[in-house]
Amino acid sequence: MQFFNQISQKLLFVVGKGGVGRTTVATSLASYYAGQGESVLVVQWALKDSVSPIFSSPQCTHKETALPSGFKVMNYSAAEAIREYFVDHLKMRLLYSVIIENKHVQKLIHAAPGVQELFFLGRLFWLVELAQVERGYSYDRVIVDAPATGHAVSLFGIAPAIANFGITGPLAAECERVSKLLADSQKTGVIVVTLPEELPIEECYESIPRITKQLNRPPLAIFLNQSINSSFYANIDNIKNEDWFLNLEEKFKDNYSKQELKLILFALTKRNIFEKKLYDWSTIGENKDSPIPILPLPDIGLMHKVNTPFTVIESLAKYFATLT
Amino acid sequence: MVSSFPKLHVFLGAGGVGKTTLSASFALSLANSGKKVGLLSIDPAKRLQSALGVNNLSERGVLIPLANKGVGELRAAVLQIGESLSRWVEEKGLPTDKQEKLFENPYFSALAEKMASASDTLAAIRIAEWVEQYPDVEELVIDTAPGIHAIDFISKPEKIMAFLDGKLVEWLKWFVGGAQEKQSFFARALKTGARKVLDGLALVGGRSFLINFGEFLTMLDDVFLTAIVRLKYSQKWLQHSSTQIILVCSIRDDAVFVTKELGRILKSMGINPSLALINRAFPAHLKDEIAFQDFISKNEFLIESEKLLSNYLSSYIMTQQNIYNQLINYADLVIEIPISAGLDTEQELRLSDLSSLGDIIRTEAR
Repeated sequence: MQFFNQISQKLLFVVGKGGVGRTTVATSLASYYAGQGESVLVVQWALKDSVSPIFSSPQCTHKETALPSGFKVMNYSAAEAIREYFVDHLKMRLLYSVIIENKHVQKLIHAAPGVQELFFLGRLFWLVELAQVERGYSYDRVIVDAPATGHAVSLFGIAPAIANFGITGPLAAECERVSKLLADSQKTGVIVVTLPEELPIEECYESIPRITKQLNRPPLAIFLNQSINSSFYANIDNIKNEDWFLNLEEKFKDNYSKQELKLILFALTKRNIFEKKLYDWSTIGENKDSPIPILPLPDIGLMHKVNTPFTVIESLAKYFATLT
Repeated sequence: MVSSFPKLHVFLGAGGVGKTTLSASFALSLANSGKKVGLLSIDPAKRLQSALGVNNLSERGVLIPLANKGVGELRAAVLQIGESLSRWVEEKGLPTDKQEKLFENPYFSALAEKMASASDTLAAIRIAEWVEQYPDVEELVIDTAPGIHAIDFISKPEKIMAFLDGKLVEWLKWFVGGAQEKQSFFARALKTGARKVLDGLALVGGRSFLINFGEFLTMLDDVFLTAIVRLKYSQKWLQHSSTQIILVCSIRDDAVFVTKELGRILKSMGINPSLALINRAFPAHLKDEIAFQDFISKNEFLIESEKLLSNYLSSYIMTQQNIYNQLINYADLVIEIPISAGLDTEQELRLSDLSSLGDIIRTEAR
C-alpha cells in the first residue's frame, strides 16, 4: 500500500475507543514523520502526558516541548488556551483579567459543556494556521492524540453547535474558522485506530458513519493495531495442530491446564477472526463504492520476550517507513 | 429524599477492560443473593443485552428475568442523558409551548445531543433520581464511561453545583428580564458589577448569545432546582462510607496507566477504592505446570510459531504480575479474574456465566 504518500493533511486526528492504542499510533506516526524530516507536534488532551514518559522525558505541559525523538509534544490545558486566546491573540488583556478571570465567569467556564472543546479546537487552528504569522514558526504536521471516540466525535460537532447559540463577535469568528478547518479535506484528516477484538470493532461500525456524517467525508484510514494476520505471522492459526504444541500439552499433569492453554491460544488467534470481520464490513453497504483503507499494524509484542513502549514505537515507525 | 443511602457500587476503568460485563455480573450476583438491585450501564454490547434477556435496555429501566425466583430483583437501564434531560423537563409540567421552546433552544439540544462531556456529570443526577423512582432499591451498580472522564461523575457535581448556585445565573436571568427584581441596596450594588461582567461577555460573544443562554437558564430554573437537590444527594452518597469504588483493569499497559491515574485522583479526593479487578487474568492451573514454566522461560526455538506463543505467554504473565504490584497501591484488595470459556469464546453469553463471575467477585471481596 502506498499509504503514506496519500496523507497530505497537516492536521491529523487519531481517534478510537479507549485502550486501542491511540497514543501508540499517534506517537509512532510522529516519530515516522520526524524521521522523514518533518517538523511535528503531538497534541494530547489528557490528565497526564503519556507520550514524554515513553522517551524517558519529564511530563510536558500545555507548552510545546521538544522530545529527544525529534518531535514536539504538548498537553492541552483549557485555562492556558483561554489565556492565550484573549491575551496573546486578541490582545484583550484587560477584558481577560476583569471578565474571564472573574470567579463567576470561571465557574461558568468550568461547568458549561463545550467551552473547553472550543478552545481546544481554537488552539489547533492557531498551531496549524497562525503560529507562523504570530510567532514565526510552523509545523508540517500536527497530530492530535484525540480523546476517546465518543468525546472525539462530539468534538467535531462542537463548533457548529456553539455557532448555533447565536454568538457574534470574536467567539463567532473563532467557531467559524475552526469549523472551516475541520471541513477542509486538504488540511484535516482523521485516522481511526482499532484492535482486532469484539468491542473495538463493533465500535468502529458505529463511530465511523458518525464521523463521516459529522465531517462530510470518511476517515482517511483505519489503523488495525496488534494484528497477527498471516502476512506478519504465517503459522499462528495452525499452532494447535503443531507437534511441539501437542507435545507440550501431553506433559501437563492437570487436565484443566490443557483446556486453559487452548483457551488462551484461542484468545490470541481470534484476533484474525475479528480482522476478517472488519475487512468484510469495510466492503459492504454504504462502504461498498469506496471502502475505507485498512492498515494492519503488526503486534510488535510477539516478536520479543520483553518489550518497552519505546521499542514498540520505534518498530512501528520503521514499519511505516516500509510503506512509503 | 430518604436519609439513608442504598449501597452504591461504582465501576471505573479504561475502555475495553470489561467494566460493563463485570458490573452487570456483579449486579446479577447481588440480585440472585436476594437483594433489590439497580444497574445503570453505559453502552452495553448486544451480546450482554441478550444474555440479560432484553434486546433494548431502556433509559428508565426494566426488570431482568432472574433464573432463581426469590426476593431479589434486578432492574437494568442504560444511561442516555438526552432522554433523561427531556424527562426532567417534562416532570416539571411546563406549559406545552414553553416546553417546545425549550427543546428548540440551541443550548438545550446541544446539552442533550452534542456534548458527550456532560453525560458523566449528569449521571450523578440520574442516580439520585433512580432512588426516587425505585425507593426500595438496596444496591445500585454503576458502570461509568471509559477512562478518566468518568472521574467527572465523582468530581464534577461540585463544579456544576458551583455554577448552578452561582451569581452568574442570577445575573443572566436578570439580564433577560426573567428574574424577580429585588429592590434592596445590595441587589442594586450587585447589578452594577453584574452589568460590567455581562457587557464584557457580550463583547466576546455577542448579546444574543447571552439572551439565548439566559432564556435557557430561566426556562430550566425549576429543572435546575431539582437537579441541585439531586446533585447534593449524590455528592453525599458518593462520599458515604458504604459507597464502594471498584477499579477495573485488564492485562494492558495503557489500562494500568488509566487505572493508576484514577486511583491517584481518587486518593487526592480522599476516596479509597475498596477493590481493584484484573480482568482476563491468566488461568489458575496452567501457571503451576512445570512443563509450562519451562516453555515460557525457554529462549532458543527452532520453530517461529513456538517462539511467538512462548513470547506471548511469558509477557502475559509478566504484565499481569507487574499490574498486580502496581494496583495493590491503589486499592484495599486486588482480585484477578481469570479468562473463562463462557465469557471469552465465541459462544453465546449465558446468564449463569455472568452470575458466577459476579459470585467470584463477591466471594473474594468478602
